[in-house]
Amino acid sequence: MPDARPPGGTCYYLSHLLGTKVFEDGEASAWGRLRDIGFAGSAAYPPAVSLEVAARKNGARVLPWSAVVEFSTRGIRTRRTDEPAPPADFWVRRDVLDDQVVDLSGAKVRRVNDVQFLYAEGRLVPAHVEIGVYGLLRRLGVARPVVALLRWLFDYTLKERFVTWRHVQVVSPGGSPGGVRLSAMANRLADLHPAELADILEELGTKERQALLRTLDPETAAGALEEVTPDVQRTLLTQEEPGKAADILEEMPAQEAADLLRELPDPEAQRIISRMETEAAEDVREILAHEDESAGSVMSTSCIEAAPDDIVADVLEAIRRCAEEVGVFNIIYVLDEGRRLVGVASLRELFAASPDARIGRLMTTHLLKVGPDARLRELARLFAKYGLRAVPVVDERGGFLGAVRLKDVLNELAPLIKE
Amino acid sequence: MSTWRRWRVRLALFAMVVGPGIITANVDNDAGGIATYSVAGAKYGYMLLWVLIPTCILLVLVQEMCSRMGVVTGKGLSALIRERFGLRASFYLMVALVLTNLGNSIADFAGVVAGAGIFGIPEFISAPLSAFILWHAVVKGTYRSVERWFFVACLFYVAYIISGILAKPDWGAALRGTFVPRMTWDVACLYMVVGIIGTTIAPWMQFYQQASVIEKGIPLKHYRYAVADTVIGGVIVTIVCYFIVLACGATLHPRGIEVETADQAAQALYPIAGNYCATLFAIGLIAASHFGATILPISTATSVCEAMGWETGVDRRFSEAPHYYSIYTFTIVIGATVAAVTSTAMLVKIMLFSQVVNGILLPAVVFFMLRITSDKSIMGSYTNGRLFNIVAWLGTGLVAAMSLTMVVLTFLHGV
Repeated sequence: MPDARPPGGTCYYLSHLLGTKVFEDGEASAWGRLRDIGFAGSAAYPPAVSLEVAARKNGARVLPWSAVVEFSTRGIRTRRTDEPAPPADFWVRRDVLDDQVVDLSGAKVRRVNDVQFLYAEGRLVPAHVEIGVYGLLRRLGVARPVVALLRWLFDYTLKERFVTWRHVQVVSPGGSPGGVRLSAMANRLADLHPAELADILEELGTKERQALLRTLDPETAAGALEEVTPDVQRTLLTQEEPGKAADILEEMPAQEAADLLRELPDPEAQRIISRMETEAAEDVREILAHEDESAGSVMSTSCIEAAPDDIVADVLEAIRRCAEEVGVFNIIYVLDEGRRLVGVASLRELFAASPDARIGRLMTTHLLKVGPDARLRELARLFAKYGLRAVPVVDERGGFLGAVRLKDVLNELAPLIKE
Repeated sequence: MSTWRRWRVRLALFAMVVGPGIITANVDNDAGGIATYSVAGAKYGYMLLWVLIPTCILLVLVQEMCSRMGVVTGKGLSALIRERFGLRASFYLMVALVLTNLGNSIADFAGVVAGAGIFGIPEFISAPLSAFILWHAVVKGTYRSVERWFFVACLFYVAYIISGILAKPDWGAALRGTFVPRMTWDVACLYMVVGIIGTTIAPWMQFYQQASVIEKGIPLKHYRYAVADTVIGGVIVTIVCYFIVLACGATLHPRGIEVETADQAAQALYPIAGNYCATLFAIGLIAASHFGATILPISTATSVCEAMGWETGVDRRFSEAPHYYSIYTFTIVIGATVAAVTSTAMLVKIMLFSQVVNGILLPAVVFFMLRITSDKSIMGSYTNGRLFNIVAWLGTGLVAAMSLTMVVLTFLHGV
């Protein structure tokens, strides 16, 4: 049972372990000091597989964990072995201590002050990471006096702050490009809310951020990318290969993707668009063709469309099938053969109507609509005046282009609101 | 692509990247800077002008490393030092940084007090008032627009350039002072030189520029525009301090005035503003001091929180980043309090002293930076070149040697 924690055992802090003398079994004088411990495996509590020892002569040596005979802070005894050390997924000092990790339980990036291990039956596993002031003080060697002082002066007990290793995601890429152990945990990152994931991405360094983004599936990545600040979007996209960037952008609503591409210099944006699927690329190009901050640039192009002769039951069935993808959900746009907008019907009206009624009979033909050049200001006034939730966008001959939702306008205007 | 189009793309990219270097360099000329350059010009005339040239080169090298680290790693300088050198080293560095930044912060509030003093506003009103305005601006989130106004106010430095020219300096002597290295070998002169270097390449600048580069989100591909930004910033700041020294050297030095009060420093602007020189100086000093006084506490709080792993950022609320706002508030309160209760005669001394402490801490910070920027596992293919390293280590070694000599001499003889 690889995932179970070993019963009982001794607790050790990394800060106490580092620098521990390493002895050859049977010898009285140490041949080196512990410098780092390597861990591997996809278990929630992965075991130590190797250790790096700073030898008194010949620099550093890496040993397999199996060479360890006795392990404690008083001294580590090793036996001679010819076995090569297995590759480690991460080295706890190099990749964890003093580095950033993602705390999945709090959905936050933390800096690790110390690591607590559990040692039992010859196995060493990480149990917690310490992220509080207590760990900082212990590293500086002043934890006890400061804690005593705080208790005496303010009657305040300073406690350790732990994150269980099960919730820790190592993100430091260490020496190897591409990151460590990320893929094993990536599915758990995908469970986080896109906004939380975005906060995490913003906090991380460039390499860590890129490595983390690569492990996410395009849909999750798209969700997170929509939420990060424009500056971070720009760095992430320009540093991603155009193909990967295109995959992610395809998962976004076209107007969001277009907004993002507007942030990039033109040649780079074109390179990414050219790698997107034809349909998605066309939608994005269509929006990019309109001036920024106009109805055409914020409109959603995925709307529910119907013909006047369609019957209600068929339309409802069609809605059921595409409900996941459409941007404007509660309004049905009725188009004639020339794709000109002739009327609209609400979802409520469809439900209220008899299943075999024709859409043409129940739709409203008295229409409010705007051109693609309409400014956001104008749209905002329209929404406020008529209490609309979405307004259709048509070209000069009445051809249907898409619809602007109240939400789209709010997204654009919210940053301009000053307190 | 046509040439015109290519230029337009380049210009657009430059506009996207530009800022951190130029802004950091301009904040550099805060109250402590103006005081140091004024004293240098008044006391030594044109003799120390040459110091500015190697200082400018070192400044550009050091600040370039910061933008490079920021762009490549996306991490702040103190975070990198923590990751590369561990907690102990970064902790002691942070203690030293907080102390020098406190000194600089005091100097900035001293500038506010001195500037307001010219208008007859007493220090027990001006210091708390400006402290409250700054604190409020950051906590309530209007700081970015405030920052822009201070930046515009920095155009005041142009007055020094014009004044320096109108003062009809002895150009022959000035050029000799610029290109012939000369100094008197005593503690006072060494103190002055370390002060000039320390105020021009202040340690907080490295932390601040790296943080702003990250905040701007400059992509690696466009890194060379960030280099241009740094070089332009470095050259602008050097020209400004050159003319402050020159103006003071031409106006104050011949008359034997050693700058002890703001009124005396203001005399350097007499050639351009005549009897209004004190007013002009006061307005400029107040703006420049506010600019420094907003940015220093922010930079201090950000550096410490990054190193210790606490939440940072002006965009967070107090409850989300308590350590950040505590350090920020602490720096402002100490700065304003000390400036308000200290006598005016002491303030110029405090300003100069804080710049000298900068000069002592600088080699330590640059040492860490050079180690990090030479590390392939952190910087990838963006490590320092060989020539870069030689010049930077040499310059840093020289500053370290001078600081050390000065400290030893100060202990032996006193200033």
